[in-house]
Amino acid sequence: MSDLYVAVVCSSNMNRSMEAHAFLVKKGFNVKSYGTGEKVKLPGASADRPNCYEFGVLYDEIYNDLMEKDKNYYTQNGLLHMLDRNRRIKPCPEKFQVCNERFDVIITCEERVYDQVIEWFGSRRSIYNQPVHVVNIDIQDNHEEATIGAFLISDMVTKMAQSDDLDNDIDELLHEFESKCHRPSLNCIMFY
Amino acid sequence: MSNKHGHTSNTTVQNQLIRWINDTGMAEGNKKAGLLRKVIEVLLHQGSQMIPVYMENILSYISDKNTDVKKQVAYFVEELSKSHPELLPKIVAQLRLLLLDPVIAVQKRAIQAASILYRNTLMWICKGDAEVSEMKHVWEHLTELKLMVLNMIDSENEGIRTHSIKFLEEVVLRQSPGDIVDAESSLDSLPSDVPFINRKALEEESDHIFKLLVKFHNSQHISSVNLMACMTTLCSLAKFRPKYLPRVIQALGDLHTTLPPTLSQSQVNSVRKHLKMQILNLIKQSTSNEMMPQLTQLLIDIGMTAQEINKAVPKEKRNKRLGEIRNGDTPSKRFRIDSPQSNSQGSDSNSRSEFMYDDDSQSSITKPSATEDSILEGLNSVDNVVNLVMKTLQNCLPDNMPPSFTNDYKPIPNSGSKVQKKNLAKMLMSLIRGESENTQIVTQSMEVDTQPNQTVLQQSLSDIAAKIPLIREDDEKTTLKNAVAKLQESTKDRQIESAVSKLMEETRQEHLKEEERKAKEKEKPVPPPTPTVPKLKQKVKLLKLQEITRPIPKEIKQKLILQAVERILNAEKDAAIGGAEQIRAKFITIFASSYTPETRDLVLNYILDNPAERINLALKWLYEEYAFMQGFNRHPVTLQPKLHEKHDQNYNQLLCALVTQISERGDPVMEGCKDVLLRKIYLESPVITDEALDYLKHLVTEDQVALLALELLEELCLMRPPRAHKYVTSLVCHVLSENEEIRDIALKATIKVYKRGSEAVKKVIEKHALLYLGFISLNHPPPELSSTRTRIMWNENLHKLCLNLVVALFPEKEGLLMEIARIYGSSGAEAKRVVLRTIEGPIRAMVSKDLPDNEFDEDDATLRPAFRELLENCPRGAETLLTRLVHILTEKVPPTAELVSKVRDIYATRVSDVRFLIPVLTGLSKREIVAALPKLIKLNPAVVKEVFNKLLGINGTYDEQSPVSPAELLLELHLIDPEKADLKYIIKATALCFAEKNIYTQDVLAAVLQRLVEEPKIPVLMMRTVLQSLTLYPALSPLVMNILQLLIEKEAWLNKVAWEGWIKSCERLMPASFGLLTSLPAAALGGLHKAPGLLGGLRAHVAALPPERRAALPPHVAALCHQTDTQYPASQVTMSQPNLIPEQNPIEPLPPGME
Repeated sequence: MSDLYVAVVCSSNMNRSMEAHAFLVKKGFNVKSYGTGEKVKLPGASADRPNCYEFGVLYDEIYNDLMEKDKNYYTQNGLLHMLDRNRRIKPCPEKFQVCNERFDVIITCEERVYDQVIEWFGSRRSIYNQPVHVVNIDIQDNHEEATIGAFLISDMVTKMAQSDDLDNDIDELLHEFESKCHRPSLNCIMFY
Repeated sequence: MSNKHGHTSNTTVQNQLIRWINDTGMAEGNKKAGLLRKVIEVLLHQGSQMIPVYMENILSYISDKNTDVKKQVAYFVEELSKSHPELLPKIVAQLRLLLLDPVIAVQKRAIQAASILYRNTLMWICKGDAEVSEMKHVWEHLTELKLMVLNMIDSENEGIRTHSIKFLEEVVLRQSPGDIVDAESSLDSLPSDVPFINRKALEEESDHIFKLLVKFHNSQHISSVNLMACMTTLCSLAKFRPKYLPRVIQALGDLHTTLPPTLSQSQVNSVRKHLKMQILNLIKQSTSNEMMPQLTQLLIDIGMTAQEINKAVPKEKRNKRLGEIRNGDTPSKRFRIDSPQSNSQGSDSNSRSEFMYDDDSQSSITKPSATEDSILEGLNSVDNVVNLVMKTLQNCLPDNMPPSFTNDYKPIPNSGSKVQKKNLAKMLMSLIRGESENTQIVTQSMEVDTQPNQTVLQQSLSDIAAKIPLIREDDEKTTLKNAVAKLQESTKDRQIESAVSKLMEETRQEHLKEEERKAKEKEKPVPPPTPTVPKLKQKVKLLKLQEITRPIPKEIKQKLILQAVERILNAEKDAAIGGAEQIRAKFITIFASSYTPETRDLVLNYILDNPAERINLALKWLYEEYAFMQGFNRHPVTLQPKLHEKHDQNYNQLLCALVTQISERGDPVMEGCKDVLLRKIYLESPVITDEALDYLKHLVTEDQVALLALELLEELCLMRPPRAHKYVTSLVCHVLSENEEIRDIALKATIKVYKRGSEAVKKVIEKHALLYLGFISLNHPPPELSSTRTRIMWNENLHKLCLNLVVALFPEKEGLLMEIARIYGSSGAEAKRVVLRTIEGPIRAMVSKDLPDNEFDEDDATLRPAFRELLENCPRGAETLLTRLVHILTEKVPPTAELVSKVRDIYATRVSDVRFLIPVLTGLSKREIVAALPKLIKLNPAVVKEVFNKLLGINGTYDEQSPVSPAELLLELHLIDPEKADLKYIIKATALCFAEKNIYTQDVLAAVLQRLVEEPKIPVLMMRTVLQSLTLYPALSPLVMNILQLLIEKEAWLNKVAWEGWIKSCERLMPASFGLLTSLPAAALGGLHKAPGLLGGLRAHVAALPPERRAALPPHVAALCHQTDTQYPASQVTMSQPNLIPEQNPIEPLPPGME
């Protein structure tokens, strides 16, 4: 469809980024997804006891683990379904900070994640001087919002892919996006 | 083995490579790019020894058409510079070509590659294992590349600017002395023995570029993305080259106070966010320790809380920072102490860039009264501020407001707040400082020629130039242009140093001029505090129309518009000659419909000046307005929306203005073509509004144009069917007009419209017809009927007026009959009469229309639905109308069975008046007729006569078989119960029968008499009829004798009336009746005394009898005959009377015993 190389980043590379990942892949985009958090965190039996995993643990393993813990509960809250979806897309959650890819566009799903991405760029020296647009769209971390967010992201990426000269058009494109979706966005340009 | 293997694999790789290279040559587009990519990958990673062989093949694609292919070449060059720097002399020229590529994407890729190449080249030179000539060659190319990219920061393309910024960052980084950590890729690593490289010049160049970047960063019209890229670059420079840190911090601070005004809210958010992130990033660097207070202050300004900052700051720095904040050290002081001068590398040039900072801080120290904080304190006192303002007002304001002020002035959003005061203090400070610099500059400039250490001075001056807060943009522009030009020049001359000094000289001159100008412009100690101090602007800026032009005042604009429109209007002939008529018309309509009211008036007057010729323009305009009204057209956004709030009003107003002006202007030129114009407007406009219609309606009342108006109304109704129901009301109302001519025309037109119109139109007309019809049931004529206010009384004409429409419609819609009947029922007598009279004609016409049908199919002739309905549901009070209808229906044709049955039903249930039955009498059964007879004969004699005519078939216009024969009729008359009808009426009725001698012949009467005598009870009038028949037809005497005989058998003497008749008959039949008399029983004979003539006759008869017959007489007869003659003195006289009386009055004899 286009040679735009896109990354979608959220905190745990579970819900928001994966939802968008699935959506964009279906649309034929060249896309990857990442998390920026310290660990992969999933809601547990109570709010103060989340399920934590390292990045790199397979979705499949997490799936089985949760299944063992409380199959009913995690079926009810949709986690198993989500993990099942995820393991069909890629094997495991990936941490953004350790990836070596160079993207054209990075879309973050939360301001904190955006901060972390910028911080990561700030912490390293640019070697390739290749620019990347970092765009943030705030998406709440639940199933419904993730789905809506995936639509929005797909919308935006489609527009980006249609642009002949994204560097030149991005301001306008984001402005249009904001006025259309009534969601604030953040953006900046960083260099690999 | 391994060697062999390596050799074979190499061969395979080579073969593969050759195949791919060949394929690449053949392929197109993306496939080509893909193949090329493979070739490059293989070459770089597997077959690096083959690179020199195949390099040219790849580089030759530099002129390919495909963007991706060219990007691949750029990638190849970039990679080569890293892995095979020895090839740099061969590839560096290619990159130049790529940089000049027309495709923006390729250019960007080339800039990116150039930055890498630049870095790698420097490293390659540092190694110093290449030949000097080669290095020099590469270096020259590189310098050109640098200049090209430097120029590209001017580009219109955002992406190119972004890439250029990054490139420049790389350049600054490489050309400046680094710290220990980063020694490898800094200026320090450059070998000092390379003849063509002047380290000092390079450093100066980098410093200059850094300044450019700062300017660019703080320019007013930078885009958000570029701003952020620039911010990142500056921070990165500050991170790796701490000597830039203070300037970067100041630039960031300036940015925070005055963000570019062109940013949208969300961009502002992004930028602020980015600013915060970058500062936080700086804080974390160990190099920033010295600048901590400034950085934290900036973060506080941005809006972070102390806790947040504390959290962000690395632990080892925390305590120190907090302590500083508590101490409240002035930033300026910190500035000085923390100046990187202390860790300078010892080279002369190194300290120059900090020169100004030192100077600044020194001045603030030497003049403590004028630090930023002291000013801030001063600003906190109201008196001070008031004094300051008053002083400035009195002394320092120019007579006229400078245009720059109006342009730059923006209202202060946060006036009075702490932040604003702080900013104000900062601005005042910078002004005061500028002042001191001014003086300094003057002195220095005088010394320029004699000063031995020129460079130092020049450098400081250029720094001043960079810091002058009020440089105008165009000046800046020239500065930059010059800078670039000089740099380019310098490469030609290969005398960078001198170029730089030239450039500095140039800048200085510019600055001095500027200062002079400014000094002249405003000679004041403390300029008025302006809310925003225009920032040092990026020198490269596209001209923006908005900035370089000033809006024309609205009044002038409008005037210009009007004049332009006027010119176009006046160019009628020219446009026609030039063939631009259509376009002109289009323009005019757009002006008229979309612009100001004045324009509208102008065009309208133009049209009305010569409407006959400009009517088409008017119509076009109308259509344009219509399009706006309907929303087919949209007004361009630039036009004031206020004018267009009432689209429909515009259309309506225009239409009305046109018609009223044309019909009322009284212009002799217009009079002639008024008809045509009005017709054209009304018939060709897209829609006729209510007001225009009302006007047309009003025109009907104007003498001259009444007929035209009526005609137009009719045509409107006919030609514009969808809205005809609206138009027709205006037409219909004129059927009540007092003017007969108008009335007739309106009526005819209405009927015409009705015939052709849609259902809606018909409905409207009917509604009006019924409304007018309804008037007649009112006590007083409604106001619609009188043109004056005075009350008028009903008269026949008024009634007729109300009825004319409904009557005219009646043939078209019979259903109205019912309504008519309803109103009729509730109307007064006079109105009823008028209705009966007026409706008769149409009904008759309708009935006669049916006749032809009946000739063929008489049996199936059915009632018209309207009639049937009326017959079935006759409204109260309309019975007379109904009767009239039935009469008319039966005038020419015999009543149909259906009609008869309906009439019969009505008679039975509602109308008790027997007259109702008369029209259908012939359709009734005999029994019914007989039942109705008693009532019928009581009616007015003329009506009775008509009834009998009908029954007897006299004067009948059609052949009909009466259900009762004449004989039966007469018989039934006799059998009428005297209780039900007075004898008088029956006698009159029978008399009518007897008068018809043609019908009641002797035979008929004989039959009647025969039947009468057969009745078990002798009818009252029977003997009268016998007598009368006898009078009419003497030949009936034998029959009568017979009857008399039969009556004797019935003992008729018991019935006094009958007996009297019997005796009278006998008298009439003398002498033949004597025989009967003699056979009478004794009881009956008593009555003979009342008839002396008869008795006398009898006696004479008996006396003349032969004796034997006399002896045979019954004794009581004989006794009677022997009574004395004196008992009958007048017998002779009465003898002749029976003969006389019937002769004189045969028709009206009184019944016996009734005298």
